[in-house]
Amino acid sequence: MTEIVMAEGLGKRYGGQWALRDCTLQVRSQRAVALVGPNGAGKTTLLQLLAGLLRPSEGWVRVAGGAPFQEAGRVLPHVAFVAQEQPLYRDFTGAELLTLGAHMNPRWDDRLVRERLRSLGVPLDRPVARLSGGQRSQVALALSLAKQAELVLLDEPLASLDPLARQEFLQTLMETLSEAPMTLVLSSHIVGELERVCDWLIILTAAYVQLSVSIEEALATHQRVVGPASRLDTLASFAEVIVATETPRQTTAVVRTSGSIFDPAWEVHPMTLEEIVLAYLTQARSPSRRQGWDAAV
Amino acid sequence: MSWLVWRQHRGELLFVSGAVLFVAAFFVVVHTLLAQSYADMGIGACDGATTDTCRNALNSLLLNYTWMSLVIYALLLTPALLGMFVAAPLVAREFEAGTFRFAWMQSVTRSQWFWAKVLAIAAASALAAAAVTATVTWALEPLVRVDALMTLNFLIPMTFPLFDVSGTALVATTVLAIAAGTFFGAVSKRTVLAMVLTLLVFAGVRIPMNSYVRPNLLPPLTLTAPISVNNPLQLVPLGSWLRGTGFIDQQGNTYELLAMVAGSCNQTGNEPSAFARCVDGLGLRSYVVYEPPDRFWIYQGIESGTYLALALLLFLGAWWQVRYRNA
Repeated sequence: MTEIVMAEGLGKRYGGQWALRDCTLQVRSQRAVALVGPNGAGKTTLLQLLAGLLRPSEGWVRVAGGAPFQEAGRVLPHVAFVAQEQPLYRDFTGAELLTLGAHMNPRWDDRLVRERLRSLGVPLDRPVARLSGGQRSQVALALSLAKQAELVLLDEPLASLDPLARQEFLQTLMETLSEAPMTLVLSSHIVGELERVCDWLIILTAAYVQLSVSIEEALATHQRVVGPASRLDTLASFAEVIVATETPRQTTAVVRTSGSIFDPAWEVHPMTLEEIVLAYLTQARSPSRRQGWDAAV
Repeated sequence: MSWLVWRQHRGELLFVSGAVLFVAAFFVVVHTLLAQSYADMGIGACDGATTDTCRNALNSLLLNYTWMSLVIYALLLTPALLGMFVAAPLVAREFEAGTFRFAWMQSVTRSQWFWAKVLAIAAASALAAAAVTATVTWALEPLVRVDALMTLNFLIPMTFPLFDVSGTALVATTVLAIAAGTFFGAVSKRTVLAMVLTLLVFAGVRIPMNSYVRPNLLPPLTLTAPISVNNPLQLVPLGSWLRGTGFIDQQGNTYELLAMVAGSCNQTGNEPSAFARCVDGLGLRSYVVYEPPDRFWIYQGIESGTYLALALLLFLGAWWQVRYRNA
């Protein structure tokens, strides 16, 4: 098992504003990572740092053994990236974009990409500008997969798609993941559908990585607990409290704990991935952040 | 990369090739007409232009082609147009459309991407400029010779505007305009702004170069002749750049017009020889300030070298912007 992505203390600043801060991260080869967070949390910044489109302001990042910005020549053949707006030359036809890819990439799988687009019914003889949004996404995805890169980065690939196109897109992704040895990092704020494709979860809020665990572990270690009122401090002593709401009669909280909660005063419920993510997003939005919680209770 | 460059710019290449062919065809017609006029007016036998018949013939030929300088002014603008419409969008449009995020994620580094595009565009534009220069130089050669014979300074390679479409000038200014367009496109990331800046900088470099730098680059030569010489302009080498004529007295004072110094000789009446004798008696000589035609390549070299050096700096600046700045 090798790490295809390694980052330490990675940060990116625009003017005085940190878009990403203190990001330490390892992604193992052949993982499928869901990068989740609210808009403006730094997902795009992180992906573009991995792709070498941005230069880190602090810290460092290695992708396939090289610094993506400084050693682009070495790293680029190993990384594919589809930006959120899926920019393609709009006057090029699909076939021309494939020719472009074949000319500009050393390991181009032309046959596979043509077959895939044909089976999806994407017309290759038409300028990209005249394709539907779903078809354009399929072309952008196909171009990034045909590059046969070890690491494929997709920024909000589902955002512009209707539910049917979304299903087709995820289907294509799953088929590719099962066929080719590649690592996928996929950013989204839609969580439910990613569970089918991904096995790792990174939650990014307000420029910081809040969580980076396997989805299995995320599900096993997060619980919703309901217990007596004014007992948040005891709860915090044996579990990490992500969010909590207190009423005069009871305390409801989402906690992260490696062990089980045996205290019979607390009623423990399992959580779905979507609920876990939602808890972190709520935490990020509430005025008392995670660091502020201990002081507050 | 070459496939991408070809695919993205084939339209422009086709258009510019068409324009070059059009200009070439136009000048072939001009050259044919000139040759015909030479034959019709018997100008071929007029080298020296001494007889009145010859002078009249040459004069009327030149008068027929005064509009040619307008055509050359138009040609002088073509580098700016290439810079604005081909080079300014080269990088800027990729930023505006976001397609740089697609282009830069192929297995080709930004540097390779940048230089492949820039060198192809600059080379093609320079080639077009060279073709226009060759055509113009060939087609106007008869007219230029007549102009030199008549010492009119209206269309000789040493002076504006013919100087600027001769030699290496048009190629160098074209490369400069391409560099300026690329640079401002890369820095501003906005096509329209880059177009405006390209035009401003092109004019800002070219106009002072013509009207200030070139006239002051090397000290002009001065030739004096006895006042009895009918036309001292004919004593300077053919095709010289005439900077001034006038009269100089024994104390070294210069006068642009004879009337300014020789008013007393007007009383000699209408007889020309008596007038000349009177002026000779004042010790006056006529003078011509000029730059000899062999300075043509010196000036071409200095100016083109300056333009190309500036272009290189702009290209490097644009490359730096593409390679090291955040996308």
